[in-house]
Amino acid sequence: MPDMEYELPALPYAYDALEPVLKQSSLKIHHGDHHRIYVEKLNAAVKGLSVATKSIEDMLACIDASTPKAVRNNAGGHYNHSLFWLCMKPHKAGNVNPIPESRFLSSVHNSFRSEEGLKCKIKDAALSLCGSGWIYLTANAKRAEICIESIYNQDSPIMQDVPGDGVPFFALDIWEHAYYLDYTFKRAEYIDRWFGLTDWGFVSDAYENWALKGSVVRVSRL
Amino acid sequence: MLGKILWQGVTSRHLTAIWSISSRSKHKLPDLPYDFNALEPYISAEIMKIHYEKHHATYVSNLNVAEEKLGEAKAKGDISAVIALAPALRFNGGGHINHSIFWQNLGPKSGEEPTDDLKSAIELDFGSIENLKIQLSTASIAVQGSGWGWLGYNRQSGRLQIAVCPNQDPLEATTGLVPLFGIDVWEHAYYLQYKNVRPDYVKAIWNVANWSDIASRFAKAKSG
Repeated sequence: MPDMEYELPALPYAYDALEPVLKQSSLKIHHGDHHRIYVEKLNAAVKGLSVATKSIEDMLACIDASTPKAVRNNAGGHYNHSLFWLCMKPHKAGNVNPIPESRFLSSVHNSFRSEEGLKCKIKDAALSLCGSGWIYLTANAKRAEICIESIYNQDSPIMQDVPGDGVPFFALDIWEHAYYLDYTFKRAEYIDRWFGLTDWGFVSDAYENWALKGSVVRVSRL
Repeated sequence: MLGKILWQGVTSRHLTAIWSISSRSKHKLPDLPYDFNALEPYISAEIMKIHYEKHHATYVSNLNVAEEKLGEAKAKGDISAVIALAPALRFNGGGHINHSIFWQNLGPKSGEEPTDDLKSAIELDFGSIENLKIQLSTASIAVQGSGWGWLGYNRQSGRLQIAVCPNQDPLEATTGLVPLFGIDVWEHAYYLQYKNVRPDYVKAIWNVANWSDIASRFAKAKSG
Protein backbone atom coordinates (compact mmCIF):
# COMPACT_ATOMS: atom_id res chain seq x y z
CA MET A 1 0.00 0.00 0.00
CA PRO A 2 1.32 3.46 -0.76
CA ASP A 3 2.27 5.81 2.04
CA MET A 4 -0.30 8.39 3.06
CA GLU A 5 0.35 12.08 2.66
CA TYR A 6 -1.60 13.58 5.54
CA GLU A 7 -3.25 16.87 4.73
CA LEU A 8 -4.38 19.88 6.67
CA PRO A 9 -8.17 19.76 6.37
CA ALA A 10 -9.90 22.91 5.18
CA LEU A 11 -11.99 24.54 7.89
CA PRO A 12 -15.74 23.99 7.34
CA TYR A 13 -16.23 27.78 7.70
CA ALA A 14 -14.36 31.00 6.98
CA TYR A 15 -11.68 32.23 9.39
CA ASP A 16 -13.95 35.03 10.58
CA ALA A 17 -17.02 32.83 11.08
CA LEU A 18 -16.33 32.19 14.78
CA GLU A 19 -16.12 35.88 15.69
CA PRO A 20 -16.58 37.43 18.15
CA VAL A 21 -15.84 34.33 20.24
CA LEU A 22 -12.58 33.53 18.43
CA LYS A 23 -10.95 36.20 16.27
CA GLN A 24 -10.11 35.61 12.63
CA SER A 25 -6.41 36.29 13.36
CA SER A 26 -6.38 33.71 16.17
CA LEU A 27 -8.00 31.04 14.03
CA LYS A 28 -5.51 31.68 11.21
CA ILE A 29 -2.65 30.95 13.60
CA HIS A 30 -4.34 27.96 15.28
CA HIS A 31 -5.31 26.28 12.01
CA GLY A 32 -2.77 27.73 9.58
CA ASP A 33 0.25 27.38 11.86
CA HIS A 34 -0.30 24.99 14.79
CA HIS A 35 -2.38 22.39 12.95
CA ARG A 36 -0.43 22.73 9.70
CA ILE A 37 2.84 22.10 11.56
CA TYR A 38 1.40 18.97 13.23
CA VAL A 39 0.57 17.66 9.75
CA GLU A 40 3.99 18.51 8.30
CA LYS A 41 5.82 16.95 11.23
CA LEU A 42 3.60 13.88 11.07
CA ASN A 43 4.43 13.35 7.40
CA ALA A 44 8.13 13.62 8.22
CA ALA A 45 7.89 11.35 11.28
CA VAL A 46 6.11 8.44 9.55
CA LYS A 47 8.34 8.25 6.47
CA GLY A 48 9.39 4.67 6.03
CA LEU A 49 7.32 3.38 8.96
CA SER A 50 4.61 0.76 8.50
CA VAL A 51 1.98 3.05 10.05
CA ALA A 52 2.52 5.44 7.15
CA THR A 53 -0.08 3.53 5.08
CA LYS A 54 -2.84 4.03 7.64
CA SER A 55 -5.57 6.62 7.82
CA ILE A 56 -5.15 9.02 10.70
CA GLU A 57 -8.04 7.30 12.49
CA ASP A 58 -6.41 3.86 12.20
CA MET A 59 -3.01 5.25 13.11
CA LEU A 60 -4.28 6.69 16.38
CA ALA A 61 -5.74 3.30 17.31
CA CYS A 62 -2.28 1.71 16.84
CA ILE A 63 -0.39 4.15 19.03
CA ASP A 64 1.02 2.71 22.24
CA ALA A 65 3.92 3.26 24.63
CA SER A 66 6.43 2.04 22.05
CA THR A 67 5.38 4.55 19.39
CA PRO A 68 8.02 7.21 18.69
CA LYS A 69 7.09 10.51 20.38
CA ALA A 70 7.23 12.38 17.07
CA VAL A 71 4.56 10.10 15.62
CA ARG A 72 2.41 10.14 18.74
CA ASN A 73 2.42 13.87 19.35
CA ASN A 74 1.91 14.88 15.73
CA ALA A 75 -0.69 12.22 14.91
CA GLY A 76 -2.56 13.18 18.06
CA GLY A 77 -2.26 16.87 17.23
CA HIS A 78 -3.54 16.30 13.70
CA TYR A 79 -6.51 14.13 14.70
CA ASN A 80 -7.52 16.19 17.73
CA HIS A 81 -7.53 19.48 15.85
CA SER A 82 -9.40 17.93 12.91
CA LEU A 83 -12.13 16.82 15.34
CA PHE A 84 -12.09 20.20 17.13
CA TRP A 85 -12.84 22.17 13.93
CA LEU A 86 -15.81 19.88 13.25
CA CYS A 87 -17.15 20.51 16.76
CA MET A 88 -17.65 24.20 15.95
CA LYS A 89 -19.96 26.11 13.64
CA PRO A 90 -20.38 29.77 12.72
CA HIS A 91 -21.43 31.98 15.59
CA LYS A 92 -25.03 33.14 15.73
CA ALA A 93 -25.95 36.39 17.43
CA GLY A 94 -27.52 35.92 20.84
CA ASN A 95 -25.36 32.96 21.78
CA VAL A 96 -28.40 30.65 22.18
CA ASN A 97 -27.20 27.25 21.08
CA PRO A 98 -29.28 24.35 22.40
CA ILE A 99 -28.58 20.66 21.85
CA PRO A 100 -31.06 19.29 19.29
CA GLU A 101 -33.51 16.50 20.21
CA SER A 102 -31.47 13.37 19.75
CA ARG A 103 -30.24 10.21 21.39
CA PHE A 104 -27.33 12.32 22.56
CA LEU A 105 -29.63 14.78 24.32
CA SER A 106 -31.44 11.92 26.09
CA SER A 107 -28.11 10.54 27.21
CA VAL A 108 -27.10 14.00 28.48
CA HIS A 109 -30.30 14.17 30.53
CA ASN A 110 -29.62 10.70 31.95
CA SER A 111 -26.06 11.39 32.99
CA PHE A 112 -26.05 15.13 33.70
CA ARG A 113 -29.72 16.02 34.33
CA SER A 114 -29.61 18.87 31.81
CA GLU A 115 -27.56 20.61 29.12
CA GLU A 116 -26.39 23.07 31.75
CA GLY A 117 -25.32 20.16 33.93
CA LEU A 118 -23.17 18.79 31.08
CA LYS A 119 -21.61 22.17 30.34
CA CYS A 120 -20.85 22.71 34.04
CA LYS A 121 -19.01 19.41 34.25
CA ILE A 122 -17.09 20.09 31.03
CA LYS A 123 -16.08 23.49 32.40
CA ASP A 124 -15.00 22.00 35.76
CA ALA A 125 -12.85 19.48 33.94
CA ALA A 126 -11.34 22.20 31.75
CA LEU A 127 -10.48 24.41 34.71
CA SER A 128 -8.92 21.50 36.62
CA LEU A 129 -6.60 20.47 33.80
CA CYS A 130 -3.21 21.63 35.09
CA GLY A 131 -1.29 22.07 31.86
CA SER A 132 -2.01 21.59 28.16
CA GLY A 133 -4.62 19.13 27.01
CA TRP A 134 -8.11 18.33 25.82
CA ILE A 135 -11.54 17.67 27.24
CA TYR A 136 -13.30 14.87 25.39
CA LEU A 137 -16.76 13.38 25.60
CA THR A 138 -16.57 9.64 24.99
CA ALA A 139 -18.85 6.63 24.66
CA ASN A 140 -18.56 3.24 23.00
CA ALA A 141 -20.53 0.26 21.71
CA LYS A 142 -20.83 -1.20 25.22
CA ARG A 143 -21.28 2.09 27.03
CA ALA A 144 -23.91 4.59 25.86
CA GLU A 145 -23.27 6.62 29.00
CA ILE A 146 -21.27 9.75 28.20
CA CYS A 147 -17.94 10.16 29.99
CA ILE A 148 -15.94 13.37 30.30
CA GLU A 149 -12.22 12.68 29.88
CA SER A 150 -9.40 15.14 30.64
CA ILE A 151 -6.31 14.14 28.70
CA TYR A 152 -2.93 15.90 28.68
CA ASN A 153 -0.90 17.09 25.69
CA GLN A 154 -2.01 15.58 22.33
CA ASP A 155 -3.02 12.18 23.67
CA SER A 156 -6.40 10.66 22.89
CA PRO A 157 -8.43 7.87 24.54
CA ILE A 158 -8.22 6.14 21.13
CA MET A 159 -4.52 5.46 21.80
CA GLN A 160 -3.87 2.06 23.32
CA ASP A 161 -1.90 3.22 26.35
CA VAL A 162 -4.19 6.12 27.31
CA PRO A 163 -6.70 5.30 30.07
CA GLY A 164 -10.33 5.33 28.97
CA ASP A 165 -12.17 2.91 26.76
CA GLY A 166 -14.37 5.34 24.90
CA VAL A 167 -14.43 6.86 21.44
CA PRO A 168 -14.18 10.65 21.59
CA PHE A 169 -16.99 12.38 19.71
CA PHE A 170 -16.39 15.88 21.12
CA ALA A 171 -13.05 17.61 21.63
CA LEU A 172 -12.39 20.93 23.38
CA ASP A 173 -8.86 22.34 23.09
CA ILE A 174 -7.53 23.58 26.45
CA TRP A 175 -3.97 24.25 25.31
CA GLU A 176 -3.29 27.95 26.04
CA HIS A 177 -2.71 28.58 22.32
CA ALA A 178 -6.40 27.82 21.74
CA TYR A 179 -7.55 30.86 23.69
CA TYR A 180 -4.67 33.05 24.82
CA LEU A 181 -4.86 35.65 22.04
CA ASP A 182 -8.58 36.14 22.70
CA TYR A 183 -8.87 35.58 26.45
CA THR A 184 -5.30 35.57 27.88
CA PHE A 185 -5.43 33.88 31.32
CA LYS A 186 -9.25 33.78 31.41
CA ARG A 187 -9.80 30.14 30.57
CA ALA A 188 -13.25 30.16 32.24
CA GLU A 189 -14.49 32.94 29.99
CA TYR A 190 -13.18 31.10 26.91
CA ILE A 191 -15.15 27.97 27.88
CA ASP A 192 -18.35 29.92 28.59
CA ARG A 193 -18.20 31.68 25.23
CA TRP A 194 -17.04 28.59 23.35
CA PHE A 195 -20.34 26.87 24.08
CA GLY A 196 -21.87 29.47 21.76
CA LEU A 197 -19.88 27.88 18.91
CA THR A 198 -20.41 24.20 19.67
CA ASP A 199 -21.92 22.30 16.75
CA TRP A 200 -24.17 20.09 18.83
CA GLY A 201 -25.64 18.68 15.61
CA PHE A 202 -22.25 17.27 14.66
CA VAL A 203 -21.60 16.09 18.22
CA SER A 204 -24.98 14.31 18.43
CA ASP A 205 -24.38 12.66 15.07
CA ALA A 206 -20.84 11.61 16.00
CA TYR A 207 -22.15 10.13 19.27
CA GLU A 208 -24.93 8.13 17.65
CA ASN A 209 -23.34 7.05 14.35
CA TRP A 210 -19.71 6.57 15.39
CA ALA A 211 -19.08 6.36 19.13
CA LEU A 212 -22.05 4.10 19.92
CA LYS A 213 -20.93 1.82 17.10
CA GLY A 214 -17.42 1.68 18.54
CA SER A 215 -15.88 3.40 15.51
CA VAL A 216 -13.33 6.20 15.65
CA VAL A 217 -15.00 9.36 14.34
CA ARG A 218 -13.79 9.94 10.81
CA VAL A 219 -12.21 13.37 10.43
CA SER A 220 -10.34 12.97 7.14
CA ARG A 221 -11.61 12.98 3.60
CA LEU A 222 -9.42 10.04 2.62
CA MET B 1 -8.71 39.62 78.16
CA LEU B 2 -6.01 36.98 78.03
CA GLY B 3 -7.35 33.67 79.21
CA LYS B 4 -10.97 34.80 78.94
CA ILE B 5 -13.00 31.89 77.64
CA LEU B 6 -14.64 32.92 74.39
CA TRP B 7 -16.10 29.78 72.96
CA GLN B 8 -16.13 26.16 74.12
CA GLY B 9 -12.83 26.31 75.97
CA VAL B 10 -11.02 28.21 73.24
CA THR B 11 -9.44 31.26 74.78
CA SER B 12 -8.48 34.47 73.08
CA ARG B 13 -4.84 33.37 73.45
CA HIS B 14 -5.61 30.29 71.38
CA LEU B 15 -7.29 32.30 68.67
CA THR B 16 -4.43 34.80 68.55
CA ALA B 17 -1.96 31.94 68.22
CA ILE B 18 -3.99 30.29 65.45
CA TRP B 19 -4.47 33.55 63.55
CA SER B 20 -0.80 34.44 63.77
CA ILE B 21 0.23 30.98 62.57
CA SER B 22 -2.17 31.26 59.61
CA SER B 23 -0.97 34.71 58.62
CA ARG B 24 2.71 33.69 59.06
CA SER B 25 2.28 30.70 56.76
CA LYS B 26 0.24 32.38 54.01
CA HIS B 27 2.27 32.63 50.84
CA LYS B 28 2.63 35.95 49.08
CA LEU B 29 3.56 37.07 45.61
CA PRO B 30 7.24 38.11 45.83
CA ASP B 31 8.17 41.60 44.66
CA LEU B 32 9.27 41.81 41.04
CA PRO B 33 12.85 43.15 41.03
CA TYR B 34 12.20 45.38 37.97
CA ASP B 35 9.40 47.09 36.05
CA PHE B 36 7.17 45.11 33.69
CA ASN B 37 8.89 46.72 30.68
CA ALA B 38 12.43 46.02 31.90
CA LEU B 39 12.92 42.88 29.82
CA GLU B 40 11.80 44.44 26.54
CA PRO B 41 12.14 43.85 23.66
CA TYR B 42 12.84 40.20 24.58
CA ILE B 43 9.80 39.69 26.81
CA SER B 44 7.02 42.27 26.44
CA ALA B 45 5.61 44.33 29.31
CA GLU B 46 2.17 42.96 28.42
CA ILE B 47 3.31 39.39 29.01
CA MET B 48 5.22 40.26 32.20
CA LYS B 49 2.20 42.00 33.72
CA ILE B 50 -0.23 39.14 33.04
CA HIS B 51 2.32 36.45 33.87
CA TYR B 52 3.11 38.01 37.27
CA GLU B 53 -0.21 39.61 38.31
CA LYS B 54 -2.49 36.85 37.05
CA HIS B 55 -0.75 33.52 36.54
CA HIS B 56 1.73 33.66 39.44
CA ALA B 57 -0.77 35.37 41.73
CA THR B 58 -3.28 32.57 41.06
CA TYR B 59 -0.75 29.90 41.99
CA VAL B 60 -0.12 31.76 45.25
CA SER B 61 -3.78 32.14 46.19
CA ASN B 62 -4.62 28.54 45.21
CA LEU B 63 -1.62 27.29 47.17
CA ASN B 64 -2.91 29.10 50.24
CA VAL B 65 -6.34 27.54 49.77
CA ALA B 66 -4.83 24.07 49.36
CA GLU B 67 -2.66 24.49 52.47
CA GLU B 68 -5.64 25.66 54.50
CA LYS B 69 -7.56 22.56 53.44
CA LEU B 70 -4.49 20.49 54.29
CA GLY B 71 -4.49 21.95 57.79
CA GLU B 72 -8.15 21.08 58.22
CA ALA B 73 -7.66 17.56 56.90
CA LYS B 74 -4.70 16.97 59.21
CA ALA B 75 -6.62 18.34 62.18
CA LYS B 76 -9.39 15.84 61.49
CA GLY B 77 -6.94 13.01 60.91
CA ASP B 78 -8.44 12.55 57.43
CA ILE B 79 -5.60 10.82 55.59
CA SER B 80 -7.65 10.35 52.44
CA ALA B 81 -8.31 14.08 52.20
CA VAL B 82 -4.62 14.80 52.80
CA ILE B 83 -3.65 12.52 49.90
CA ALA B 84 -6.33 14.00 47.64
CA LEU B 85 -4.75 17.44 48.09
CA ALA B 86 -1.38 16.30 46.70
CA PRO B 87 -2.04 17.31 43.06
CA ALA B 88 -3.20 20.82 44.04
CA LEU B 89 -0.17 21.29 46.32
CA ARG B 90 2.18 20.06 43.63
CA PHE B 91 0.66 22.22 40.90
CA ASN B 92 0.24 25.44 42.85
CA GLY B 93 3.27 24.96 45.09
CA GLY B 94 5.38 24.11 42.06
CA GLY B 95 3.97 27.11 40.17
CA HIS B 96 4.84 29.41 43.07
CA ILE B 97 8.36 28.00 43.48
CA ASN B 98 9.10 28.03 39.77
CA HIS B 99 7.89 31.55 39.08
CA SER B 100 9.60 32.96 42.19
CA ILE B 101 12.90 31.62 40.82
CA PHE B 102 12.08 32.81 37.29
CA TRP B 103 11.65 36.50 38.15
CA GLN B 104 15.06 36.46 39.90
CA ASN B 105 16.66 34.46 37.07
CA LEU B 106 15.79 37.28 34.66
CA GLY B 107 16.85 40.91 34.58
CA PRO B 108 17.28 43.84 32.20
CA LYS B 109 19.75 43.05 29.42
CA SER B 110 23.25 43.54 30.77
CA GLY B 111 25.41 41.85 28.17
CA GLU B 112 27.01 39.89 31.02
CA GLU B 113 28.14 36.33 30.61
CA PRO B 114 29.01 33.81 33.34
CA THR B 115 32.39 34.28 35.02
CA ASP B 116 34.67 32.53 37.50
CA ASP B 117 33.36 29.37 39.16
CA LEU B 118 30.14 29.18 37.18
CA LYS B 119 31.96 29.69 33.88
CA SER B 120 34.45 26.92 34.80
CA ALA B 121 31.65 24.56 35.75
CA ILE B 122 29.77 25.26 32.52
CA GLU B 123 32.89 24.67 30.44
CA LEU B 124 33.57 21.45 32.32
CA ASP B 125 30.07 20.03 31.90
CA PHE B 126 29.05 21.48 28.53
CA GLY B 127 32.31 22.40 26.77
CA SER B 128 31.33 26.03 26.43
CA ILE B 129 28.70 28.59 27.38
CA GLU B 130 27.43 28.43 23.80
CA ASN B 131 26.94 24.68 24.10
CA LEU B 132 25.00 25.09 27.32
CA LYS B 133 22.71 27.57 25.59
CA ILE B 134 22.18 25.20 22.67
CA GLN B 135 21.45 22.20 24.86
CA LEU B 136 19.12 23.96 27.29
CA SER B 137 17.35 25.71 24.43
CA THR B 138 16.86 22.44 22.53
CA ALA B 139 15.51 20.68 25.62
CA SER B 140 13.16 23.57 26.45
CA ILE B 141 11.81 23.86 22.92
CA ALA B 142 11.16 20.10 22.84
CA VAL B 143 8.96 20.10 25.97
CA GLN B 144 5.66 18.58 24.93
CA GLY B 145 2.76 20.71 26.11
CA SER B 146 3.46 22.81 29.20
CA GLY B 147 6.57 22.71 31.35
CA TRP B 148 10.00 24.10 32.12
CA GLY B 149 13.56 23.60 30.93
CA TRP B 150 16.14 23.77 33.72
CA LEU B 151 19.83 24.14 34.33
CA GLY B 152 20.28 22.32 37.61
CA TYR B 153 23.02 21.36 40.03
CA ASN B 154 23.47 17.72 40.96
CA ARG B 155 24.58 17.60 44.61
CA GLN B 156 25.69 13.98 44.39
CA SER B 157 28.01 14.45 41.44
CA GLY B 158 28.77 18.13 41.90
CA ARG B 159 27.97 18.59 38.21
CA LEU B 160 25.65 20.82 36.23
CA GLN B 161 22.82 19.08 34.43
CA ILE B 162 19.92 19.92 32.15
CA ALA B 163 16.46 18.63 32.94
CA VAL B 164 12.89 19.28 31.85
CA CYS B 165 9.80 19.03 34.03
CA PRO B 166 6.19 18.85 32.88
CA ASN B 167 3.50 21.32 33.93
CA GLN B 168 4.51 22.97 37.24
CA ASP B 169 6.42 20.04 38.70
CA PRO B 170 9.21 21.66 40.74
CA LEU B 171 12.73 20.62 39.76
CA GLU B 172 14.18 19.84 43.17
CA ALA B 173 11.26 17.85 44.55
CA THR B 174 10.95 15.93 41.27
CA THR B 175 14.59 15.23 40.36
CA GLY B 176 16.73 16.25 43.33
CA LEU B 177 18.57 18.81 41.18
CA VAL B 178 18.96 22.30 42.64
CA PRO B 179 17.39 24.80 40.24
CA LEU B 180 19.83 27.39 38.87
CA PHE B 181 18.09 28.75 35.75
CA GLY B 182 14.63 27.93 34.44
CA ILE B 183 12.98 28.65 31.11
CA ASP B 184 9.18 28.72 31.36
CA VAL B 185 7.79 27.20 28.15
CA TRP B 186 4.12 27.29 29.07
CA GLU B 187 2.48 29.10 26.15
CA HIS B 188 1.37 31.91 28.49
CA ALA B 189 5.07 32.80 28.94
CA TYR B 190 5.46 33.85 25.30
CA TYR B 191 2.34 33.50 23.17
CA LEU B 192 1.18 37.12 23.05
CA GLN B 193 4.53 38.13 21.60
CA TYR B 194 5.94 35.08 19.83
CA LYS B 195 2.73 33.16 18.98
CA ASN B 196 3.55 29.55 18.12
CA VAL B 197 7.27 30.28 17.52
CA ARG B 198 8.63 28.99 20.81
CA PRO B 199 12.21 28.78 19.45
CA ASP B 200 12.31 32.57 18.93
CA TYR B 201 11.29 33.15 22.56
CA VAL B 202 13.83 30.67 23.91
CA LYS B 203 16.55 32.29 21.80
CA ALA B 204 15.56 35.75 23.05
CA ILE B 205 15.44 34.86 26.75
CA TRP B 206 19.23 34.45 26.91
CA ASN B 207 19.50 38.23 26.47
CA VAL B 208 17.80 38.74 29.83
CA ALA B 209 19.34 35.86 31.80
CA ASN B 210 20.61 37.25 35.11
CA TRP B 211 23.96 35.48 35.44
CA SER B 212 24.64 37.04 38.86
CA ASP B 213 21.53 35.36 40.22
CA ILE B 214 22.36 32.06 38.53
CA ALA B 215 25.92 32.24 39.89
CA SER B 216 24.75 32.94 43.42
CA ARG B 217 22.35 29.95 43.28
CA PHE B 218 25.25 27.83 42.07
CA ALA B 219 27.51 29.02 44.89
CA LYS B 220 24.81 28.33 47.47
CA ALA B 221 24.06 24.88 46.03
CA LYS B 222 27.74 23.91 46.09
CA SER B 223 28.23 24.99 49.66
CA GLY B 224 24.91 23.70 51.00
